[in-house]
Amino acid sequence: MSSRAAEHRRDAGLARVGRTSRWITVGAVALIGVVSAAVAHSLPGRSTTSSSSSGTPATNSTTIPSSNPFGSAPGLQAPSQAPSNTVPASPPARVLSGGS
Amino acid sequence: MTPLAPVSFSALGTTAVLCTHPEEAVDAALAVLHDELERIDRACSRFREDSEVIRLNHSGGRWMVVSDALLEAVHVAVVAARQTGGAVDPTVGTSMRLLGYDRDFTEVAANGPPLRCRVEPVPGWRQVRIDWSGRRIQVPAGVEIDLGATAKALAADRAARRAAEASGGGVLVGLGGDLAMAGAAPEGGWVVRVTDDHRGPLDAPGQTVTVSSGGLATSSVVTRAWRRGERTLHHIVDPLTGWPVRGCWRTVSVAAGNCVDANTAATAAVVKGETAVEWLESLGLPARLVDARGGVHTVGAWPAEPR
Repeated sequence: MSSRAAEHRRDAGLARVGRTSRWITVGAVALIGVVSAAVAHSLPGRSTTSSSSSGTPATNSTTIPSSNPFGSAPGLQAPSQAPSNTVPASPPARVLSGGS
Repeated sequence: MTPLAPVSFSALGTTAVLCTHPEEAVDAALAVLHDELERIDRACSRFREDSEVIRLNHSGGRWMVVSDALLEAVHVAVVAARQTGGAVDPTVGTSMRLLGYDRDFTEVAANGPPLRCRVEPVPGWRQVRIDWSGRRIQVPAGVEIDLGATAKALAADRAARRAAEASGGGVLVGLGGDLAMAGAAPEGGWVVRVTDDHRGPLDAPGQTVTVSSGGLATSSVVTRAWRRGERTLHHIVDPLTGWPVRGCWRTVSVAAGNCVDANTAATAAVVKGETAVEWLESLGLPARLVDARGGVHTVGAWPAEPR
């Protein structure tokens, strides 16, 4: 066996090892991503905040935060019927809505 | 059609009004209204030494176990803040006090020397924490809560709903011009004059409309106003500055599904200024806005004034 042929086999082997290593790395990264997403969906996390100077633990407390404080904060509710102008038969106003 | 005579009396530093249909339902409804007024006053008054909110404001940042009344009132205030992007914020208490509104308004001097204090943007509603399981509230040391914007409306909603149930009739409750209706309204609806000041005469400049249910509230910068030096101050504070709003609207009236939402939207519209029209339209809330020159602008399904 010539030394040239041995070099050729060595280079080919090193190339196979390199390709295999790259595919293992790509596969591992993909697997980590898939597993992380699955865990995040099945075991959702929970935000906490530090307690104040009182030192009272924040456990079991609900912070009034910028996001979703009460499950779902409803929007301002429109009236079922808008105000309407009075008709000639209407009695005079007995109640005022004004600033206070 | 016989006009329904309202019962009115002083409460919560303003005027309480009760109308019932039929009128015979008034006794049962009145008992409920008095009960709700005492409940909200004991929990939320800034001017009553034994009120819970005074103790909360002096709690030094510690968690405080509170009554259901205060828990609900703070919850409603915080939700209002969130719904309005912070335009209606319960942490305006310090600003109110520094501006001179630190006692029942009847005792606030109409005129006084210029303010010698530093007014700052309010701390913000996100500072308020509620522990539902423990029925506790925490407000950071130095932050003062003022529930005036929403607590009266909440009391009106609760009183109207309970009074309608107790009396079996239709009920309209007004607290400082913010109206809540429940039960069956009289034929044609409740007739209401919308104007700048709820203490004005029944023929004051404004518009007369009929409403049947939900809430109708008006916020105005011309009421609860006082002067310090050359500056006119009033009770609607812009959370971004800590100072009374200096916007384009004099008075805003809004109809909504309940009085809290109507009050929240009306007050927020005053604070939001020029962007209020688009904001109200996006929410589908009928509204009447009066600008500083007296020009009237209507939004959504609010009826145009008859010529």
